[in-house]
Amino acid sequence: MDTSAVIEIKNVSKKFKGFELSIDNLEIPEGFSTALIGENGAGKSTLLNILAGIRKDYNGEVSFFNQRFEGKDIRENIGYEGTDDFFLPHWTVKDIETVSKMLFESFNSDRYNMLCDELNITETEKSFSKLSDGMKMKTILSAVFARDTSLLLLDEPASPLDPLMRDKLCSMIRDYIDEGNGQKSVLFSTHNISDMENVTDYAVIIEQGKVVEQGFVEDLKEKYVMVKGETADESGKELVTNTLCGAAFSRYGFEGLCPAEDLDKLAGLDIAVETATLSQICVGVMKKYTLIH
Amino acid sequence: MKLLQNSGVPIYQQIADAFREEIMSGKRKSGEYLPSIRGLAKELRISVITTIKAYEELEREGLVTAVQGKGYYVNEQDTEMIQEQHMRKVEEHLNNAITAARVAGINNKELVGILNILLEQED
Amino acid sequence: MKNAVKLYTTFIPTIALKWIVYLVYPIVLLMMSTVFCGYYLSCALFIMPLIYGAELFINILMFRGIASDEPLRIEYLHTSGKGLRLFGDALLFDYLRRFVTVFAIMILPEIYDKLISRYNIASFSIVVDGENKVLSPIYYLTAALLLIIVIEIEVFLARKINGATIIFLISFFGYLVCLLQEMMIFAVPAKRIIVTTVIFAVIYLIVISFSYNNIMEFEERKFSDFIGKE
Repeated sequence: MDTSAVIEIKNVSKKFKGFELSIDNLEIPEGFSTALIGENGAGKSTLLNILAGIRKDYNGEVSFFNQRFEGKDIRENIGYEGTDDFFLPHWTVKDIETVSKMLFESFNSDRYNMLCDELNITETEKSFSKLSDGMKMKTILSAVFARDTSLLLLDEPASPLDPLMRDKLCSMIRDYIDEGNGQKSVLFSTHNISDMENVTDYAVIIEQGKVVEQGFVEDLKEKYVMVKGETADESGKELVTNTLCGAAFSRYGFEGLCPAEDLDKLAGLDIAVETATLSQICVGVMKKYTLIH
Repeated sequence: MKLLQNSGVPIYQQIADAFREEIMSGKRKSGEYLPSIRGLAKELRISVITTIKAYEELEREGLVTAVQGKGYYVNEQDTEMIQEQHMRKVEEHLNNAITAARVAGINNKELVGILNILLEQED
Repeated sequence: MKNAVKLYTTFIPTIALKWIVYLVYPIVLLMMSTVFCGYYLSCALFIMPLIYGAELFINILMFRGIASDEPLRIEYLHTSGKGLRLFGDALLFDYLRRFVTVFAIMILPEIYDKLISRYNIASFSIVVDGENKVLSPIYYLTAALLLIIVIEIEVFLARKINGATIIFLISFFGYLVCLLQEMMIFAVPAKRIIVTTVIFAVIYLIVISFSYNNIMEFEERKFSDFIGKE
């Protein structure tokens, strides 16, 4: 499949106390919805901050849209949603509308108000800081989706939302991608992939500041399989631990993620194989890298 | 289209099967474009990559052709080719019967006899 | 720029306070200053500290600690190419609003008074060493400049430091400076007053340009040198 990259990340690194984000080469495919998956503290927010142009003190290069918007301010085309200190604490929904109009040319007030309505943002006179976490996120999302952009960078958008709203968010992302017909892309971070699995085309798994696995979801589902087996003896256990990513043992047997190419290593053991969900793939991969590093 | 999450058949496979059925039965005419990958993903509430995989499967089978920037259109399903495919299927089943007959020690004359009886029963 | 003013206005937390900052406070103090006009002593003892306190309060409301080590952050502004400039323009408007308000309160009544000659020239005098010393109205200009310099320094400090105690101590100090202004200014002989005024004007420009540049530089770096959330 021919894909171009909407974001190219080269040799980006940023050192913190006790942690370093270090990404050699990462390309986010254009026209798709990409999930950035990782534990808390893995570096997802930092990466998104760098991509949104908020954090400027990093090494390396980031380029967008294949230089298509050369000369123009690309931030006009990028919609970012952040988690802390996004707005002034006392701003109301109306203040946000006023400020958004000034900051972004393509901000559409009618669309914003319609979205606020659709998402049931009721307390429009209240200070932003006094809203519940879910309301806050809905407000930020309304401001972001009310603009005409080519790329959305969303930092943990689903976290504070209830299941119904998460479903709505997935619909909104699908609509956005459909509108763009290959020219609009979404990159969102999450630490709960199962809720977002049906809107994820490409997955990037980050552990300890590094990309440990990435790929189109369907390709990853061919690369890894879920293995479930009956209890094995000691040598069997060792084989399983070394072959599987994050093998879990119980008195009834074991299960874990296995790279498809390593399946024959387990020949002889009593196992059943099934397709892994994206969630299982992420957990397996993350377990593997948490142990080693 | 009823997509079942827990049927053991991957979603992309179910989609491909559904469209194959429509193409083979003539519901989708040759030259007609299938729904856009993103539009379909939106309607079915799944990820785009799944619809792409479904369409790529159909393309592999020769049922559709991908056109850069436009989508996937249904290929000329000449009846000859469809007949050929059906013929191949019949051959496959008959070969299975022959193999089974060999194993059971049934000779050719007996085998043809069984086939005739079954055909008569149909009528 | 109109947008800068709009953004500036959103920094004021409530609608009531917006009215107070733009209209109520300047008009009330202007009225009081008109009553006390011509009596420099009263102005120094009463009006100037009130202006000082009001501006301090407004600054704490809107921009407290914005350039301190635990600063006010508005990520949204940084997601737009226009954000930083808009913020800078709003800051500039803040200096402008302060300048206009302080000078309006201090100077307008004097000009008005001079025009209608409500008081005779003797009321612009104070008693120094037993003698009536006539003050040229330009002393008010000098006093206003000195006042605004002190206010700007205090505003800048309140933006750099977030602690309540420190702000209180500094504001108390500033209040004393207000009171001392009369002595400082009266000590300047009439023939030197113009030079003094010019010097103060220059100092004022230096203070605000330093303060503006410092805050803007900080704002640019705001999401950089801090250890991130992760």
